Amino acid sequence: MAFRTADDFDNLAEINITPLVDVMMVLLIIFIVTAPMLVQGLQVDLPRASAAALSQKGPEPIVLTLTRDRLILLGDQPVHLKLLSGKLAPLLAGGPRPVYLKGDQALPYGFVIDVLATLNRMGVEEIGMVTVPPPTP
Amino acid sequence: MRQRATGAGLAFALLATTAAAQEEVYLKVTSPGLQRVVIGVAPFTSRSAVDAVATSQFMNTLRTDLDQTAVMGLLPEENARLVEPAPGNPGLTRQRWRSVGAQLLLDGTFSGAGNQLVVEAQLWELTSGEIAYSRRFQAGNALAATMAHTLANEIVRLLTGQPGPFLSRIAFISDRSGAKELWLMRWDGSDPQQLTTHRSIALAPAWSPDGQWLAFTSFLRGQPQLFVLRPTQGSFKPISTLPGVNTSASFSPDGKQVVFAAGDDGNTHLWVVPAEGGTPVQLTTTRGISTQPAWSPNGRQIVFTSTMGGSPQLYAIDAEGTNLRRLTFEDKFADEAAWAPDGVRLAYTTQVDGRFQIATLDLRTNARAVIDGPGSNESPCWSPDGTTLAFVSTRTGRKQIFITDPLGRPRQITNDGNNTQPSWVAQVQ
Amino acid sequence: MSTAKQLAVLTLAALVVAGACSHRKTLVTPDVPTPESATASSTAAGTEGATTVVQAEPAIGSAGTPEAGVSASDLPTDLVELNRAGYLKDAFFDTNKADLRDDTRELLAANAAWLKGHPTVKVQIEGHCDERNTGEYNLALGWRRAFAVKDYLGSLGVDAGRIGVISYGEEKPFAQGHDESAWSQNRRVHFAITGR
Repeated sequence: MAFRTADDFDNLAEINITPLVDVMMVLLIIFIVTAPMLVQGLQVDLPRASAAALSQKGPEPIVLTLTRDRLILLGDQPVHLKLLSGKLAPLLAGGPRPVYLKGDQALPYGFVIDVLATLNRMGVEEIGMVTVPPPTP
Repeated sequence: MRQRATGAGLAFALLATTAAAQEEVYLKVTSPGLQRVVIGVAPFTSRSAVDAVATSQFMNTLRTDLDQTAVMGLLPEENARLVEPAPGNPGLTRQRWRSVGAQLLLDGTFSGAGNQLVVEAQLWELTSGEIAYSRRFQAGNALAATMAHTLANEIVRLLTGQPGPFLSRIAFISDRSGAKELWLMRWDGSDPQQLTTHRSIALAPAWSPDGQWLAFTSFLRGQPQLFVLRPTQGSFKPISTLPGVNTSASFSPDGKQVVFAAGDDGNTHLWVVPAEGGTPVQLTTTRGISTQPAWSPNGRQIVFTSTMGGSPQLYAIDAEGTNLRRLTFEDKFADEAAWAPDGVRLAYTTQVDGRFQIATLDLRTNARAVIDGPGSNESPCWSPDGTTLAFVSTRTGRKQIFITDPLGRPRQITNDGNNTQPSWVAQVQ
Repeated sequence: MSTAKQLAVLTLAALVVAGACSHRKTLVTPDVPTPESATASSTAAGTEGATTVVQAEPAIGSAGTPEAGVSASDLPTDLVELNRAGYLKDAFFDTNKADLRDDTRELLAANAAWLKGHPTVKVQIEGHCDERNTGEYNLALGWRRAFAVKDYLGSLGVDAGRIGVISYGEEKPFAQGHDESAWSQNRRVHFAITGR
């Protein structure tokens, strides 16, 4: 596995060993970013974790919001998981772009994996898991 | 005012499309970049015991109708199947409809009382999450399909300002029984009904604008005479027995008068007669043939075909018989003018390379567009909402009536015998 | 985020049907009824309102008998035989014309002579056309042809009172084909003897 490491990657290392996943054979960089500079979609209760601020360099990321009710929103448009790849294809046609997931912290793990699998099938190589910083003590 | 503005918008989109199209495109309402609004239909729930035949007829009719216009398309069934209703959370359920591509969602309930069916329907605009339309319908179980047509009409009206075509009917002439008789069918060709069994020659049906009366020509008594018929009562009476052809009736917009063609000598002139019957008054006196009058929607002028300048061309005259002027100059032949309900556009029959073709003429801009189609194409007739045309074509062999499908393509709606001279009305009264 | 913008634009394009921006407004502000829906007793959005009682579409009846007395005339069989004998010849016309050709005038002169020799005979002159005009135009063209023949017979001394005129346009073609040989057969005025 030729993962390039990113900050705090260790927290998510176990993704690597889920059975899903031939898809994981592909280069997949998963990192955690903080939320503040992302556009607001539907309100989701983001997990709290300290992470690096976003880099403004590179291709513009695609933001997917995953609500507690397991709705996937592309921008503010809900997209069914089975239709997600069709909606992403034109956005990825111009070359690779990172995808940021704003997932509710109460989401079932399996659902998140389903989304990751779809993204990986689409050839997405960089996935950002969006968090908010932990409360300052 | 809103409707007026919309009509103008449609007209521009339409002309741009027909003029630019290389291949055959029949009066598409949507211009290429625009898409049909996608409407999902949730399974209606039953609040009490209901007639299963009636409710299933309602749902089937509704789904069919909602996919039949250019402005809206039904969400594909494979997408609808992906929607998992969220019990106790209708808002989330609607978001799930949206996630499979629906922009509008129709949901509702059935309840029954005796042989009555009550339908409560709501239309949701899913982007805003608001209700766009809500209505309760009640009728006997036997009228389930009519209820569905009524609801579908209202939804089209919400999108376009004009009611949908789902209760409209087309009168036409068919020889399928062996003689040319007057027939009536639904706008999509279903439910054909034979109105006359005279075994003579019936011709040129024309609706009164209110859908009560149908004028037509019949050779029933030997000479062609002009009759008006009340389809709901089955009775009819002559309104002109002048010498000559007594044909090509067209009602005034208030339904009180009929302009038609007849002769007093070898020429054929336009005449006006009260729709109830009375003494015809001669409107034109030019030599040759003047026929195929069409009364404008505002009642002020009448467009007709005349050979006064040699070949048949379209002319207009004020309803009082003054201000005669020629409208067509580029055609070798122009006939069968039909006014769009907007009162601005005409459709008519022209000739290209020896075949009939439908053409349109915008009277504000004088923009003319010929719609090339296979076979011979004639007798254009606007839908009551002005968004599409019915016409007669020989492209599949015999003369058949076609309308445009939601994508602007011609769709054959008759099959038996030869079927000609369509006249389309919003609703028979 | 351009992604979001792009989506918003797509959604908007789909909703704005045929450029009718006001319709979208109707959709999202349903409490403003359109003029039509106001008269059609539309209920305000989301409220329990009046019920639309859907009426049956009216039953359509077959038009059996007219209100005034109408009866088709029956021809006696001896007239059928008289017509079959072919004493009167049909006249033919050029495309889209009602003018009498020279050969037609000769033929009509013979017909006129026969009619003057049988002064009690009544005829109906039928104008016919080929199919290459619209149906209602052809009806008027057939009328012109029939009248042209009637006028010519009159000029040759046949009493106009003995001559009836009718146009069948393209409705009763003599030849059924769709080529020039059929069309030339169908551009004619036919003589039918209606009384002896």
